[in-house]
Amino acid sequence: MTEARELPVIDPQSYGAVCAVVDGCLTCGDVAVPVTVVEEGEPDAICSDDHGTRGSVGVELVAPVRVGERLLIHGGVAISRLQVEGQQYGGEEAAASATARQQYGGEEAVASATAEHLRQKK
Amino acid sequence: MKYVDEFRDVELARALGTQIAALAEPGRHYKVMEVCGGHTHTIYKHGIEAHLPENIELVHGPGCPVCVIPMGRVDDGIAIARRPNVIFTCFGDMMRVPGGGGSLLDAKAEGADVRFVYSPLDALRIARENPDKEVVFYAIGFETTAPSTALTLMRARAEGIGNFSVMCNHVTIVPPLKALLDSPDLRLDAFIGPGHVSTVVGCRPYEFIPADYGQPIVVAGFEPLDLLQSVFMIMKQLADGRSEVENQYGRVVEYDGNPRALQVLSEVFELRPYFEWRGLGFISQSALQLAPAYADWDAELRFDVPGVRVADPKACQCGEVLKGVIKPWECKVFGTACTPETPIGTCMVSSEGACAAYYNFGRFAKSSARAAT
Repeated sequence: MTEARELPVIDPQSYGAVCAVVDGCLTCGDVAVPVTVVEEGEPDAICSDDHGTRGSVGVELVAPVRVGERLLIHGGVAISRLQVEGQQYGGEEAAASATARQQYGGEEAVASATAEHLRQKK
Repeated sequence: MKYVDEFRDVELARALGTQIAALAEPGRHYKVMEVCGGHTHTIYKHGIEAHLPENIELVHGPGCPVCVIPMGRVDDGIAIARRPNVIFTCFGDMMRVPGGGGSLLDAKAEGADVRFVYSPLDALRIARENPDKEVVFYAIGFETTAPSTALTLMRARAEGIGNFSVMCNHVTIVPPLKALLDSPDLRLDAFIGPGHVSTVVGCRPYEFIPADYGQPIVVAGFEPLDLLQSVFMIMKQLADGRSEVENQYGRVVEYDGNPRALQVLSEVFELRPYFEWRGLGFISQSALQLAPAYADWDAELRFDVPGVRVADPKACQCGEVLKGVIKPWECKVFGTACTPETPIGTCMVSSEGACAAYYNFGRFAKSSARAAT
């Protein structure tokens, strides 16, 4: 039986820790990663990505942040806050307008809202 | 995975595809450019084109920061990286971009201290930990990435970290869009706007597209349903005879962007008089350089760089791909001499590059479609 190997320890001081994305350009493009604040702080807060990886995030551009808030980060810096309520929406009659009103951090599943919308359209 | 699966529901994608098809006038060919390389990646990875009628063509735009860096700028970076006592840092994809005399990865193999980082803040940390070394960050990216470089420079200045500098290659999104709109090569019907650039700059900078060129633009998210919905919104505008800036990505993008990020950008950077874009040539006021207050952290002022313009390899057609004039597979060296493992052109390097995205995902869809017919 092989011995269980220890997982590598991720340095929580590293700003890159939560920037690693599964696919897409992980570095410089228009990709950004949604994370959750787990330790408040300024200029750096500790955040966790959706896979549980923690790391430092520069939050000057969206500060102050609170534990549990969802941020969108790029290059180790939070560039936007994921909105929980009151979505803006420019389109009037898009078929699946519900998708745009949902958010990564919201409770309702987008699919059900959108499917309902489509049913009503029919 | 929650908040991802919902945006990848194939039934909803089919429903949207049907509604898009209903809006497309038979006999009319629609050309819609997705500006952003992230969108190109999503389109190929998820087979978005399979949900669109044949007369809607998605054209790939210049929004991949690695792809638009000209070879001369890569050589400038390598010249700095080869200097003794320098730790040269950059984003991962940048290391593989070929310059006139090899890539940063080649320089690393030959002994230069080149390290990749996910964040410029990590480069600053390396500078703090190595006070006897010169740490240089090779900054690339559009307005999405520029704020992280700006914040890093502000921290370096506040902490008085003198052994850190930035070689700035940040570019801006609006000038290349104008160049494309003015180009006679390409007649487009509408644009899918970049989502995360717009979290910073907002939607207002795109207002000239409907106002001056009469074309719709919809700022879009990066999941498959985001893109399909954006195409639907564009088709609806075209069907209604409207041209407006619309925001499909309302869960992230504010119409006015992030004012604090814009403030930081204006403090740290100023516009370059001109900058060379691969494939698009020199475009005036299309890139950023450090403002005089940050001149002490400007790597181009601190180190001598060759600053020589290097022509692209003759076989490489990245320029045409970046302008959307040809598709990746129409390039002479696509998939043969030029692959992600041995890229000749930049579009094959970054996963956001149209060639790499098509090589990794699209070619299978195309070959299976051919096999089915």
